[in-house]
Amino acid sequence: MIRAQAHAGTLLLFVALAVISAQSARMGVSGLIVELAQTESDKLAAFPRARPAAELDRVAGFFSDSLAYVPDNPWALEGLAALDLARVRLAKDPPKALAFARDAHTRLREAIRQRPTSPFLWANLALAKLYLDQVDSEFFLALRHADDLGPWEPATQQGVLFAGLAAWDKLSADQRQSMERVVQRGAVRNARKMFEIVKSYRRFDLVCPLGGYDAVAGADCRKAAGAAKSAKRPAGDKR
Amino acid sequence: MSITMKIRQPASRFLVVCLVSLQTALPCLVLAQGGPAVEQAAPVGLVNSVSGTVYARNGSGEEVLLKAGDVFGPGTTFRSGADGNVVLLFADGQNVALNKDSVFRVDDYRFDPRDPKGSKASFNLASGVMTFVTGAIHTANPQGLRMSIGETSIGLTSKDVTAFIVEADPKSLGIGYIAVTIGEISVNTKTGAAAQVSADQFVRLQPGQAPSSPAPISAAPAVFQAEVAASQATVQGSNNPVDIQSAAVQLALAALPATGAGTDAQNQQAQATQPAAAVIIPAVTPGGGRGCVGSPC
Repeated sequence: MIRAQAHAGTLLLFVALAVISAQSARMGVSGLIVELAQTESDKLAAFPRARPAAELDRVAGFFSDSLAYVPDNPWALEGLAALDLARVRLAKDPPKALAFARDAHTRLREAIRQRPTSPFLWANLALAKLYLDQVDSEFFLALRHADDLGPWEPATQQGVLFAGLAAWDKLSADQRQSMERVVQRGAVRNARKMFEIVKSYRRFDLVCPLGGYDAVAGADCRKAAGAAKSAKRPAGDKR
Repeated sequence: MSITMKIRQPASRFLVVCLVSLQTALPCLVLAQGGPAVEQAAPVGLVNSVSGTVYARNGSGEEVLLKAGDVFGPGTTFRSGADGNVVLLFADGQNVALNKDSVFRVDDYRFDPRDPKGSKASFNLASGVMTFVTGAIHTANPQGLRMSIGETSIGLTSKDVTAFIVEADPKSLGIGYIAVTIGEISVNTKTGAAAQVSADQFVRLQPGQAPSSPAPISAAPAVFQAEVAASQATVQGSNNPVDIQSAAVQLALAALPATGAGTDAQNQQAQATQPAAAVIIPAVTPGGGRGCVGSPC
């Protein structure tokens, strides 16, 4: 009797071990595929240039393969969402572009449920909301969390600034001040990229008063100041 | 021998006369087959390409279904259906591409290649999506080119070729977007507010309000970004005046099923694409997939 019980226990243990092994193997394969996919994605991100949609679709396929093994793998969800956001601009079909933005939003929310302390996820969530044309409480929450969780993270600073400036007209005075603080912090490690974003919005007023941007923004600031001066000058004054 | 010559001579003369007549008549036949359905006199532009259902209504109220090579005059209103796309080529080299569900009117158009500075044009987009690439009128007389979208007007501030995309909401008057891909424009609303929009920027139009602050196109809503990306694959202006009648003939010839109708070289040249935008992939949490699955990692 005791022997039979011991046999049953061993069998049960064996089955449990087999299940755990299978689960581990599944997660391992998923992780391995994500690692390969992320390496490919990083290569594309390192050289921003015009690319065929098929190139991004191929890498997105790897992330999808990973999700087939572990459907809630946060790395795969995040990587695929980042590619979805990149594919928005490549899609020449509006419904398709909207679908990419929606997918990115869903995947980022799912990833945030598992990794709520990643400022990158929150910054990308704000971008997805922007693409969905939904500048609402979730958008502002995403901006705030990204800023709070990654105040010194260059990529987060860039993401927060990009999305924040896009919604500038809808920001409160406090939110605008925190955006100005992002610009100030960005001058320390990240001045060139931050200035590129500010320049794309023609918001020289945000960087020109700050000494940290002199090296990268000096010429543009002088040009902007000259243009403002000539605009103020009376019509007859030709000095 | 002499009898044979006598027979051959009239026969060859007849053949020559026939060939000359055919050569003279062919363009007219082609025009009659594929040509001036919208406007008979003084055409100012032609339909460069069309897909799906697109109608044109001329000044007298007559509405016709468009085909490539059709010519049109001032006062023509174009209306594209749910599946319609059309590219219009004007005499001054200007291009206008309309997407589905668009209504576009040529209010005025006077172009004289000998006097480009005296030329002028005026257009109106009531609804839909339009890509506008300026031609010789804009280069020679920027003040002479007027474009309006409802109560919003567009001024062209750059002197060179300018390309912009407009989306006007058909349901809500005054709502829409304007993006610039080449050059610079000013967007002026009825309230008196204006916004300068440079290349790679867009603004949002809101009824009764000033246009939004200009922002990069990559910050626009996904739907509009896709419209802009699609428009970048449409025609590019050349600033070179176009002989509308002969261009219409060539397009009609190209549309004929015969293999000897010529190549698509001209169309390919005209449809040179604007530079596509760089793909930017947002940064993700570092360490992705480094043997770490699930929370907390």
